Amino acid sequence: MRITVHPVAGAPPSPSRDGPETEPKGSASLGPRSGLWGSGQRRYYKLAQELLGLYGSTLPVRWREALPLKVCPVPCGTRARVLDAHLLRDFRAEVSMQAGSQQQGAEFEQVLLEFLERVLTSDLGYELLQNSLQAAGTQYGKDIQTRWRDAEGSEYFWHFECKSQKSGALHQREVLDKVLDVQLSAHRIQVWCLALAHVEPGNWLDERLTWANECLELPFFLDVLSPARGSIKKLFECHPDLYSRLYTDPPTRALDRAERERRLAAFAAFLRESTERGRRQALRPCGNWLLVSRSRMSDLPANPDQKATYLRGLTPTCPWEAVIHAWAAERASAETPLLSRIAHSEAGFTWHCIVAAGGEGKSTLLEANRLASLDRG
Amino acid sequence: MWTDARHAPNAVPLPIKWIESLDEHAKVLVCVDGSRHITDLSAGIEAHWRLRESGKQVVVLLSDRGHDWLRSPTRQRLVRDRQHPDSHMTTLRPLDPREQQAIAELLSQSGLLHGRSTDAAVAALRTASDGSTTTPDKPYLLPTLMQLTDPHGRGFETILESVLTDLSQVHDRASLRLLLATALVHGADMGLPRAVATRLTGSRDILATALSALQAELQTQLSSAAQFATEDDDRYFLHHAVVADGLVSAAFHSTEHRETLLALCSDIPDSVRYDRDAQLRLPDDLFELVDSVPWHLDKGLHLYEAAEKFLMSWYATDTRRFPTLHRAAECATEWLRQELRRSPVNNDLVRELIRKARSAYGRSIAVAQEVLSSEEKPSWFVGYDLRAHEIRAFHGWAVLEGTAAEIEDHPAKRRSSLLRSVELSLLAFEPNDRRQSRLVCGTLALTLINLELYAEAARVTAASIAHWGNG
Repeated sequence: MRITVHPVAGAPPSPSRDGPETEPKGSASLGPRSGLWGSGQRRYYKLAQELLGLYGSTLPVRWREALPLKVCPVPCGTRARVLDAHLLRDFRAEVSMQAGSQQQGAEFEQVLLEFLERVLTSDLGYELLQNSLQAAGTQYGKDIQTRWRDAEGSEYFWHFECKSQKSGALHQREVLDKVLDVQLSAHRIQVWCLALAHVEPGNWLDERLTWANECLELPFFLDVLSPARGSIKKLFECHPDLYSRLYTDPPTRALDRAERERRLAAFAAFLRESTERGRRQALRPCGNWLLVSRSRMSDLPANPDQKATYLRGLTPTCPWEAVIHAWAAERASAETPLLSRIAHSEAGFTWHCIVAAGGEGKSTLLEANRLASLDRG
Repeated sequence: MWTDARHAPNAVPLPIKWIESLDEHAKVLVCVDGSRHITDLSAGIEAHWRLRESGKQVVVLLSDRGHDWLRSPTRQRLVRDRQHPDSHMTTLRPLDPREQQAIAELLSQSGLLHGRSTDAAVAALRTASDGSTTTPDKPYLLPTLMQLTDPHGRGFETILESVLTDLSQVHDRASLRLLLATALVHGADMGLPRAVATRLTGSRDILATALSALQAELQTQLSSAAQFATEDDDRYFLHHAVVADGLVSAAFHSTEHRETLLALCSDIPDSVRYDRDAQLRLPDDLFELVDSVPWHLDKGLHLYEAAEKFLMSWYATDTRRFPTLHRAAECATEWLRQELRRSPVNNDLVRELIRKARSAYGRSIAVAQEVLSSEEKPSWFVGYDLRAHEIRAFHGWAVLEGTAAEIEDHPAKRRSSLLRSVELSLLAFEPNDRRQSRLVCGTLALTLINLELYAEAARVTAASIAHWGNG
């Protein structure tokens, strides 16, 4: 029995596009409304996986779009499966090209993994907490997850997405889809890093990454490690064996110790600065909210005119300076019970409302509580 | 995290996603100054168990004025289905003696007492603090501070009256109108939009002149560098909501400025009519303005006459607005009660108020029936429950008739009023609403007692307790 699958219900496939000019006896048309559309697609992908050792998700987009239109013969009662000869030839060529590219990509991932382990532990003296490759098919926007801790006890958590193509521009979907995946992920990384072994991100992607960092309110920083940004090639020269595996030829010259240390120090600075930007992005205020930190509050200068205005009750809102610079008298009788409530709150969500007539010091009390809470950590 | 929700023009949602993205065992104190615009607190409640599992502690600390908090949609959402909502509320205590001393010393050290002694300042603060325990809704601290720090030694009310008097002599009173309009709106925790200010003063040029005169006057009177208005978002504010309320009260109680204030109460709703769309619907921010100002005048300042005037002017812009008419009726009833507490009672005014309130209740029911049964009703009335409106209106009217009976000297008229109250109470009876049923039975029992029908009153009370509990 021959089954022909086409995308529009009721519309017969064009003989010139969709199969042999004469359909054999017993063929049946299946459209999306037949209820078998999904099973037809699934059956095809299963067949393709078995024949070619591929997962459906690795098929190029144009193949996925074209395949449901193609003839997919499944003789009943036998295990013999035959693909259209023309289709199969094209398919194998594509698979062969992809397999080469995948092998190259997998090698880069492995080399970068080893590089990170050596640099973070032996060269920079950090404590490596995690350094792992993602399994194929379930990567969720990253190839490598790396977590480490520096000498001061600060934790770093990065995701690396590896791209090893040697020429041409990166396809936008290859990068931005991954960013979306990471945003939806539960991992709270500080930096998502696009690692490029050979090429630069290009103007288009560079613009998009800058825009995403500025406008998307991502809770992590998007960065690039490429020959120009972060000097990936020069970094790999610190470990010649890894350099040879990645770039085929050995480095042109051996590095002296000072130069090696300079390059590693530059990489450490790159990691630190990007992580700091990621932390800032995660903590930046959203909407009408202000995130209050001790440093932000202590930066406010004391202005005598403002102090007099505050003490006379002539400010529309209570300035933070009133609490920081002790212009407001302590209201222990009101503050202590509230702080006690906050301190004894259990984990979870709770709320409390301070009620009074206007001008009685509610705003000041809010700010005093905020300051006291900061002091108590 | 901190936000000033009072002056935010739009909703400020709780950043619950951000909170959930924080590390485990994070502690977040969310401070919200004013509860009007904060939204999504229910999302925080829904996230309670997720936060608890990850060891995160999130405390939201709100602050608001008492009457604003009672009306706040945030409160309605937070206290829904909670047995003891007030356990989450703290009324700010007056200053204790040590705190009074500390404030007086701060003022003295800053050279703001202008020759007064620290002890005199402490005494003034003590008197004000003690007085605040008997009238907790009345601001005391800020007015006392303004009084103590005034270079001319004037009281709070005197300072404000002086501002009003000076402005009434400038430029066909445009700056006075601008000041009072801003005060009316700021008192309700909103800013006066520039477009409305322009219409109220007459033109942009007059507004500009009025603004300069006003700023100069406030600078002279208050010796303050604080600006009259922040114009960055085209809205005008005063120095503080308490100053705004003080100016409105001072104008209302002064024979000289009262008419100006009452005229503004009519003009503000009238001036926003030009911003309505084809369906006569106001933009959200202007709707909030005309909705909040009469509430504040009524519940916050108890200036019922001004509130009633405002509401009737708003109703006149669209005579389908039966809820506005109902609010005007309630306002007139409150105003009636206020007048009845005076001695001697102004009988003419009282009769006029009874007539006004009766008329407003009756019309609100008739308009509701007409509008809600019409196929061409405005979209904002879709889903409005006519029966619910009738219940409220009949009950309010029944209370009004019971009050009206108290002042009738003529026995027949008194009896007629009481019988009308009985009839209206029965119309307001809703057996499926426990709270409403108890309210109606209470009113009915009181009316029956006034009718000297003691056995019937006892029967109603007993039935109410048996069916709906002793509330």
